[in-house]
Amino acid sequence: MADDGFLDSSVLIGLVFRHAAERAACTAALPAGGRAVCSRYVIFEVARGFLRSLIALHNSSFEFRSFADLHQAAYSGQRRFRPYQMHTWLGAFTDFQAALEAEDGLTDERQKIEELRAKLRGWIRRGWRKVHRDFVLTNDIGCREDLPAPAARGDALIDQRLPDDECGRPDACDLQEFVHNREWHIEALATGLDSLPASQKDAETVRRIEALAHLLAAPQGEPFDGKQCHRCGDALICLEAPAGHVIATKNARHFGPIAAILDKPLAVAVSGHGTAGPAGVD
Amino acid sequence: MNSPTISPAARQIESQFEQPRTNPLQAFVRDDTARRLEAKNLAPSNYELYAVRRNQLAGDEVLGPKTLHVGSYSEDVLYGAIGSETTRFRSAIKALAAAAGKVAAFDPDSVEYGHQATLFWADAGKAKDFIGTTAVISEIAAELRTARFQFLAKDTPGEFMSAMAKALHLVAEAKRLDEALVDRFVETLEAAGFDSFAPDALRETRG
Repeated sequence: MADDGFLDSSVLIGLVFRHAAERAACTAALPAGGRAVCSRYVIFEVARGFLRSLIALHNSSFEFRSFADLHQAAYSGQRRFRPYQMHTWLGAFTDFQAALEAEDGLTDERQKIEELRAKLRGWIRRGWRKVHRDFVLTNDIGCREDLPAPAARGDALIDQRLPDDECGRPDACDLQEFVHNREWHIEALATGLDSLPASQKDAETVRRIEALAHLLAAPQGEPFDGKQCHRCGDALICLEAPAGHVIATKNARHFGPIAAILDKPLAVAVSGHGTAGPAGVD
Repeated sequence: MNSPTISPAARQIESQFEQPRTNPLQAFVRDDTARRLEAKNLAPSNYELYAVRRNQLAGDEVLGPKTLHVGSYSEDVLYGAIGSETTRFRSAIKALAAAAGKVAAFDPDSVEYGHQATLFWADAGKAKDFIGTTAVISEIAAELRTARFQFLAKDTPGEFMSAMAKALHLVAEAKRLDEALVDRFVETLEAAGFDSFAPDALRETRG
């Protein structure tokens, strides 16, 4: 029987929210004939990060009267456009619209910004549905399963209620039990990451080591700092991948050492460009 | 004096109808009426337009469609020309659906297929005029433009043109223009190789 592929966030994004070549590259990283498996933890991570940024870009557009103004603001270095390189979407749209203007005539600024919103609305709506429809879902970590779909409000802005302020509450997730059942593996992982050469221990890895220690030390049944769970991201995804599953990622830099320490198979999707995360975070 | 039996809301509605400029209430009634008429599935009429030539020496002569093709229009095309943006959009989609079906009927290797496909894409490009009409219409128009972009300077596969005809018929025949319809439209095209994320590929050159 073929192995199954276990998607990390970068591959999930690549399969659902990126162009055809990127989707093909991510598909190539999955074992042929196997199932594509995705965990609720990864979905929550994508909802908090990449999807949140798409929604923010959609909503930010209402603050500007023209596409040119929005584009200028995004490229002027405003911080809110940096995560997941949101400003590059606007650059791509400028090129897209210029190519069509050469064929179909000028598009006015109002139409340009409306078209951007129209595309983002569809991508967000269909993307969220695909995430839940196109993959086998698993939830060993016991992450939230009740995330509502992004929805347009009466004023046309899109919102998605994310209960991340409840992360770390024992009544909201089962992470503590997951950690308790894998204590030995998590300790070995934290020790292994700590012993990496300095060249491989970037700020994210250092934060991850501290976060793993925090989770191990947290008393069972007591609230803990939910952000520490988020900082463990790549480590928890590797830990959650079941036996017989190949972890598929585009983030070889961080997943490589973790998978090696845990002795889990890893496949790296090779594509033109990565799905860059927010500044300082992959 | 105003009758106390008429509510303030009713008076406000009546005042909206009396306004000379089109307002949301008038647009709603116009669009809803158009939808109801469409939903009745009444047999559509066709209009043949002709010219009358008046010449003092030769006399008057009616130049009908057989001798001079001035125009032949379906009822919904003509109604669309005078109706609301939504009605005009539906008419444009019906015309595009028919054109896509016509293209798809040709052999993709034939000259005529290439010729008709070029004409189809040029007409599809006019969908930009509908962006901003409503959220749903904007989405359909934006996806049509994405498809046009995807096949700019490229051959359009016959399979894709068939899917386009099918997808456009879905919209043309829909009782309601809603998000579920947009998603079915996109999914029908995706099954034939459409990439709604085609503009995303341009990000790679932007870094």
